[in-house]
Amino acid sequence: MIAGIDLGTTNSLIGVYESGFPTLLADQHGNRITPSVVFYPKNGETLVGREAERQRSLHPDRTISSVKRLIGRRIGEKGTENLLGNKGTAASITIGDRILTPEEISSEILKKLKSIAEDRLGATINRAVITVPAYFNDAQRTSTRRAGELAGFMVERIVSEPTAAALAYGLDRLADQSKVAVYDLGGGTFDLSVLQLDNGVFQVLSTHGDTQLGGDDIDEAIAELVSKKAGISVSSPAATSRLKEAARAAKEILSTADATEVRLPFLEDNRSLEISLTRAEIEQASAPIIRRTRALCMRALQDADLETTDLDQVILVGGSTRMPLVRNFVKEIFGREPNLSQHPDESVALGAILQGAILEGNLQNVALLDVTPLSLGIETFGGLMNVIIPRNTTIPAKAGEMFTNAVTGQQGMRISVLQGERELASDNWMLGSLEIPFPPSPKGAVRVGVQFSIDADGILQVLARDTSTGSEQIIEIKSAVEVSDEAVEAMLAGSLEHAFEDMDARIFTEARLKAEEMLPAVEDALAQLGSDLPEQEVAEILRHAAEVRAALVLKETKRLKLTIAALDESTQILATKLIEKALKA
Amino acid sequence: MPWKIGNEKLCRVTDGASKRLTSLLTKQGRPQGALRVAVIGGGCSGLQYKMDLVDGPLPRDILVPSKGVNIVIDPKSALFVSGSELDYSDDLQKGGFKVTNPNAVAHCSCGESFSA
Repeated sequence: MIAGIDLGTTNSLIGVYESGFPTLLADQHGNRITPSVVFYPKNGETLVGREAERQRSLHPDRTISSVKRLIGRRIGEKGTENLLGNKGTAASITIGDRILTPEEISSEILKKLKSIAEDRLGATINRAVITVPAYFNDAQRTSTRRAGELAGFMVERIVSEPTAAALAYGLDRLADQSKVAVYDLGGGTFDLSVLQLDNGVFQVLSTHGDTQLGGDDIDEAIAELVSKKAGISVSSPAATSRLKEAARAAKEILSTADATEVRLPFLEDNRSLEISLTRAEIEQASAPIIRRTRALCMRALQDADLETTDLDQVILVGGSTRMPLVRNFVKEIFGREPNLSQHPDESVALGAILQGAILEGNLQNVALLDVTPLSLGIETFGGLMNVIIPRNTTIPAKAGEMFTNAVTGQQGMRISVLQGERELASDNWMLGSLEIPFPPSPKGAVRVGVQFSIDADGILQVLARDTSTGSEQIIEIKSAVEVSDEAVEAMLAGSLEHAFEDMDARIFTEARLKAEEMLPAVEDALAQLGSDLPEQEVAEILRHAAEVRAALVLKETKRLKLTIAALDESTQILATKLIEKALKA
Repeated sequence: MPWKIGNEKLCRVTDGASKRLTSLLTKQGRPQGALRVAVIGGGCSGLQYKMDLVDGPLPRDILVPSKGVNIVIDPKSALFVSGSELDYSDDLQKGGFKVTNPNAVAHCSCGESFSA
């Protein structure tokens, strides 16, 4: 099995392709996202992820984050400004008396991911696909590969992040030569990559980014806004980090809500912070940061020699793209709606998993289990579809239900076998029918069991049995599973298009049947017992019955259901008396 | 991918349900399996839930990861489950899986049917 790994600047994820679909694996606490943070204690075991993060405020000098910025770098290159060492030598970090290379630190994160996956799967995982930014040079890619090897992986491939994301979005199925822009705004970095699909493989045409631009900057801008609005400025690291945490939480809430409250009791010097914050306010504060991505997008397009109209898709990657402001901004830059069908934080990892599955040859020969392509059922009283075996049930399968006669004196039941997703029988396809006779009986007295069974070859057998006489009828249908993809697609499209009106029609029919059963029963009871009731009560019942009739004529579902409930309520005493009379007799 | 990924706004499970589902799936030997939730016409309040443990999503499904459990929903059912929460309790009286749906105007007492 080949694991797919998104080794991110701020967070990392791992997953595998199993049972036909890519799955991200969670640690024992259920977290699928592991912070890319490593803590080296003076003595004892190295900690990674949330556990390491917790040590940051206590031991800032022993806690390393964003090591990805340093991997494959030499002193003197970008990002190494704060490091010691001779210009041109590989970057390294000194912790206590240890000198650590970025590869070694990255390998700790990878080891942690490996153990999460192995714990989850109960098996050894020693092959992996790891993603890197599109702009990573050879040295950075080689170092990432070495980090994987140090963690005990055979690194099957280093894949660029936008390519992985495009795979997760299923864009490898676009037409050849299709062009895709990948807008990736993560915690600490921004990239815009332009890809082109060449014979099923994505080529990176251009990429531009800013390694110091991301969600963290937005959090800081919001934190600043909050402290300004509250008139409280903080200085201690603890209060600053609480403020930033609250800013991040508010940002996440305001991605869906319009307003929220920020409350930080005893933030600093016994002062508490409490303010309300609106989406408009945080958007105003973060707009300048997001606006900085525009020039980078334009430059990437220019490098690829493309206009925005040449793009076939724009996809979003990175948690920060959850902000509506970012989505609107992307739409404005590219003049089209971005594709939002995937989780922005997970698409790179999912793509890495898919890449692993492709390398293993898993994606070509996915053993798809046979399933029922459409629901199977029978027509019931009122012309409704009654599903017995729902769509997508794995075959072989068996299911049954009991039915009864709807009309007194009925001498048999015709069972129409239907296939389809619509609520009304007439909109589905009839596969066949059978008739089960029974002696005339009062309404509801006959019990007919209907059983559907589909064998592994897709042959459907429908059996109907009158439980009182034991007589039974069987019909065999051979085409229950073989339905063309176009026909399935058309049926599904119709069922989605008419979903609400179909459901309304079903509920109305069910209510109508109930009304048609109730009204004569009420009349009957009134004829027998009406004289025993106060006049006012009888008038009330008659009024409710008239309202039910009116709702039937108007064909209004909601009204019909309400009037039936009211009639039901008003006839409670009548019903009790009816039972008393029956018991006396 | 032939299926879409949805989020917990569509459907989610509680911690209790997640634990129970994970243990059921593990017992069945498919720890990577999924819970299929379907809404079909019928039942005592008009619509009812059907639930099944399956290997994974199928083409056109919507896959919702929730609390470490994968929920798969066909597109039509998704229109009716939106916002549902699946809970599990060990309670002797009302134990078992139970769905609450904010779109439902009427629930039946068994918690298996509702009307939208």
